[in-house]
Order: sequence, then structure tokens, then C-alpha cells
Amino acid sequence: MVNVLLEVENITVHYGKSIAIQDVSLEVAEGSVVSIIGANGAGKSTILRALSGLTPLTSGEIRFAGSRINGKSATEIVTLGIVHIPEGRHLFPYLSVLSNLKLGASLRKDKAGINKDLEEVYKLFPILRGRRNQKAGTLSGGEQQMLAIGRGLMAKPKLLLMDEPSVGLAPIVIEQLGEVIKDINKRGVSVLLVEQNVHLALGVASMGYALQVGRVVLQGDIATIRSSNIVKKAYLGG
Amino acid sequence: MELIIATLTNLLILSSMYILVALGFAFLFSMLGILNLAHGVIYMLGGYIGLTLITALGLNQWLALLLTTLIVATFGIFLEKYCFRPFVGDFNRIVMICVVITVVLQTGVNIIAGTQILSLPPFAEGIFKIGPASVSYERIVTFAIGAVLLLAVTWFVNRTKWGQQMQAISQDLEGAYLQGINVHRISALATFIGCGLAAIAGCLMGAYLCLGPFMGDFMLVKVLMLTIIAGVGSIGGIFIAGLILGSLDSVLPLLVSGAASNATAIAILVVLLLIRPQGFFGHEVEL
Ligand SMILES: Nc1ncnc2c1ncn2[C@@H]1O[C@H](COP(=O)(O)OP(=O)(O)OP(=O)(O)O)[C@@H](O)[C@H]1O
Ligand SMILES: [Mg+2]
Repeated sequence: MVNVLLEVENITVHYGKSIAIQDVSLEVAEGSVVSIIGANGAGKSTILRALSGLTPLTSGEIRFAGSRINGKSATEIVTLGIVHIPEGRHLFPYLSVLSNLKLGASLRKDKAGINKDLEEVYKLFPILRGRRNQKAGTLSGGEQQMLAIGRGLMAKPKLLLMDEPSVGLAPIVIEQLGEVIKDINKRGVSVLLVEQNVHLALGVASMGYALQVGRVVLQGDIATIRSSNIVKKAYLGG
Repeated sequence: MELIIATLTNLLILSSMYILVALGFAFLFSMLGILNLAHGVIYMLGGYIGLTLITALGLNQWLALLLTTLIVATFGIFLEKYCFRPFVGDFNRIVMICVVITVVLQTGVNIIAGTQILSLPPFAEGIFKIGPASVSYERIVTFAIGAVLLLAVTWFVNRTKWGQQMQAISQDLEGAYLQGINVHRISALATFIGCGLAAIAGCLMGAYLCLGPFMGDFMLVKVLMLTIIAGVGSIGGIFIAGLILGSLDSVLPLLVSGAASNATAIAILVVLLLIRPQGFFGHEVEL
């Protein structure tokens, strides 16, 4: 029996008066990769923002490793090991690649561990090592995405929330991204991946959720998702 | 010779004081988007608290300078927590609050100390001579304090973890939250430092020139002009803009008399801004 790392129970989120997600429930088992797919505006990012404490819940509960985390601050949530790599990357454009990576480790005090993880990130993305003194804003889109992932890893996550990491990347790079996600997962990091690129989402995950206008309309293991009519029609071209 | 040295030292002192005050203003503006129009009166408050500690309590003036810095810096934390943070993003209300703080402090000082021009005792006495040239120790000390503080702040912002977090917050607030950066604590720290620097400048200027309840207005105008010339972003831009303003304010009075020199300075700045409305430096200048 695998432990459930993250449990989301009937969460509802409003922006002002308009509802963004309604009664969403999902689970991430420890050590797994779980994908959420859905069209623009379905509420995928909102789920991740709620998990990382950026957006408050209207109702529902989020538990991480058995304890309730909704209502905690973004800082507390990162401390617990939930790290969110946001849509649009949100890098620090005028700081160097190295500074960006170090800021990913803002809450850590173990200097030796930080340096070790920095090496790991450079191993995963060798291009970042060569560009460590370059300003983040001057990197190419693909390099920026690598930096965003690297910065997330520097926080030593237990659960990584990734919001559309494939946006703006060439098909071949998206394939590599899939390998990177699997690699990260092999190192013991659980991943909750939000993607519109269904091939990537279904290629790396063991479980999936499909979201439509703020509600979960489909969930199950990847085979189930792949064979569902909803997904076939909407994303897989037939 | 005398005139050149006097002008040059005046230029350095004015520039460094403008920059000291502008830094705190720029921190709040770039990190939280808060236009702290009360920053001028905080500078003024520093000068008067310093004077009070020296004259009323008879403290040693260096001790008074240190205490003033801590008092005003702590007042900054209070301001950040109760007057700014709850209203982040609400431009109108922040402006109103700053106007209220300004009026309250200015009137308060006016009632307690009166409108007469006062000044702090000089922080150093005597004249330093090399050959035909001479400079008062007061000028040397004033500039030296300013220069050391500016170097220290630059070092802090670029080389320490907290300084990096300040930059992170100003470059991408959401990104900063997601790295777990404690935005509230770092903003409070930035306000603490910014108000402390303004207080030091208030004491130094109160000794170098004089104190008046409305000295903050004058400084606020300088700070606003400086920030506009610099463009929001790097400390480097603020340094250059500070030197430009300091040069105008120290050299122009030699060429144009009285109030006309101030008008000339503003005219030059307006022309500069017509050429580059976004400011001159932004993130381009590294330090
Ligand atoms: N800050 C906000 N204020 C108001 N409404 C918002 C805000 N952010 C998102 N919304 C609305 O909430 C709904 C869900 O948005 P969300 O960003 O979660 O969608 P998404 O599934 O991530 O879409 P995309 O694939 O385009 O990124 C949308 O209707 C959106 O317009
Ligand atoms: Mg989204």
C-alpha cells in the first residue's frame, strides 16, 4: 500500500465573485507523477495556486503528509516541501542564473546540501552551468524553463507542482522535458503536473485528472484517461 | 581654488545625502509598489529627534545619531506594518495616508520646535589643510559617513541573502512568494533600513545646513526627481541620478542666482525627461 502524500478534498476557489474551481478532489501518492489536463481557463493553475498558498480556498481541505495545510502561508508551505514552478516561470530577470538558483534555496540553511544540489541541477541542465553569470531575463525560453525547474529543485521539494512546463518549447525539447520529469521523480520527488500537452502529461504520469470549467470530469490511471472519449475528442484528435 | 574645493565637497555631500534618502524610497517603491510620499518627513523627523537627544537629553552626538537611526528605523517598521502593508495596491489610500503622516509630523514638529531655523552641532570641527587647499573636517566627516553607508547598502543588497531576497521581491513578487521568501519580513527590513538611512541624512544635513519643519518637502522633491531620472530598478541608476542632482544643486547657484538656480535645475531635468521619459538607467547600471 502506497502512502498518499497529498490529499485535496472538495476544494472550491473564487476570484472575487466568480468561481474558478468547484469541489475539486484529487490525490497524489508518494513517489508518483500525477497529471492534470484541461482546456484554457479550466482551473488548472488555480488548483496549484491554492496548493502553494497563493490563493485562499472558499471551502474544502488540503492535507499534505496527513496534516492540514490550507490556510498556511506560502513560506510555510515551501518549508514543508511543496514547491510550485509557476506558469510563466516568474524568474528574477535581472539577477544571474546562479542567484536565481540560490534564491530557490531561500529557506534552507544547510550550505553543503545547497552546494550539492546546485551541482545536481547543473548535471541535469549543463547549459545553466555555462550561463550561471548571465542574467535570467536574457536566457532563451527553453533555458528559462530549465532555470525555473532548477530553481524549484533547489528548494529540495518532496512534492513538485509544475504548471505547463512545456509552453514555448520545441517538440524535441518537450521530449527531453519528459525525461527530466521522470528523472526528478526517480530521485524520490513526487510530481503534480499541469499540462495542455496531453502527450507529455500522459507519457510521464501514472494517474491523471481531466478538468472542465472548474470541475473534475474524469480521473483514473493513465490507461483509463487515454481511452476516455472526453480526452480523445478534446485532445487526441478523435 | 577655495571655490572649486568648496563646490566639489558640497557636490559630494549633497549627492550622497540625496542618494541616502532616495534609497529607502526606492526600496519601498520597487518592492511593494508603494509611493512613500512621507519619506521626506521621516528625514525631517530624524534631524529633529537627533537635535532633541543632543540638546534636551545632553547625549553625546554620535550616540544621539545612533539612537535616532534606531528610533526612526523602528518607526519605519511600524509604518510598513500598519500604514502600508494593509493597503498595498491601493494607490489612492497610500497617498492619503502619506499626506496624513506628513501633515501630522510637520505640524507636530512645528508646534513643538517652532518654525525658527535650528541646527545640530557639527559632527567635527577644525579645518584640514593640504598646501593651499583647505576643507573643514565637518565636510569630510559628513561625506565619509555618507560614502561608507552607501557602500554598505550596495554590499548588503548585492552580496547578502537578505539583499538578494529584496531584489527578488522587487523583480517578481509572485516568484518571491513561491521561493518561500518571507515577503513581509523582508519588506519590514527594507523599510527599517530605508528609514534609518533617511534619519541619518536628516541629522547630517541638520548639522551641515540647518533644520526646519519643511526641510522634508524639499528633500522629497529631490528624491522624486532622482527616482524619475534613475528609472526604477538598480541602485546604480540611483547613484548616477544622485550625482547629477547634486552637481546641479552645487554648481548652478554659482552661475544663476537665488531661486532661479532651482528653476534652472528643474528645467534641465524636464528636458532630460522629454528625451527619455522612462528614466535613464533602470536595470542597466550594475553595481
Ligand atoms: N486573478 C484572477 N482574477 C480573476 N479571475 C481569475 C484570476 N485568475 C484566474 N481567473 C479565472 O479563473 C478561471 C481559471 O483560471 P486558471 O488560470 O486556473 O485556468 P487554467 O486552467 O490554468 O488555464 P490556462 O490553461 O489558460 O493556464 C478562469 O476563468 C480565469 O479567467
Ligand atoms: Mg494555467
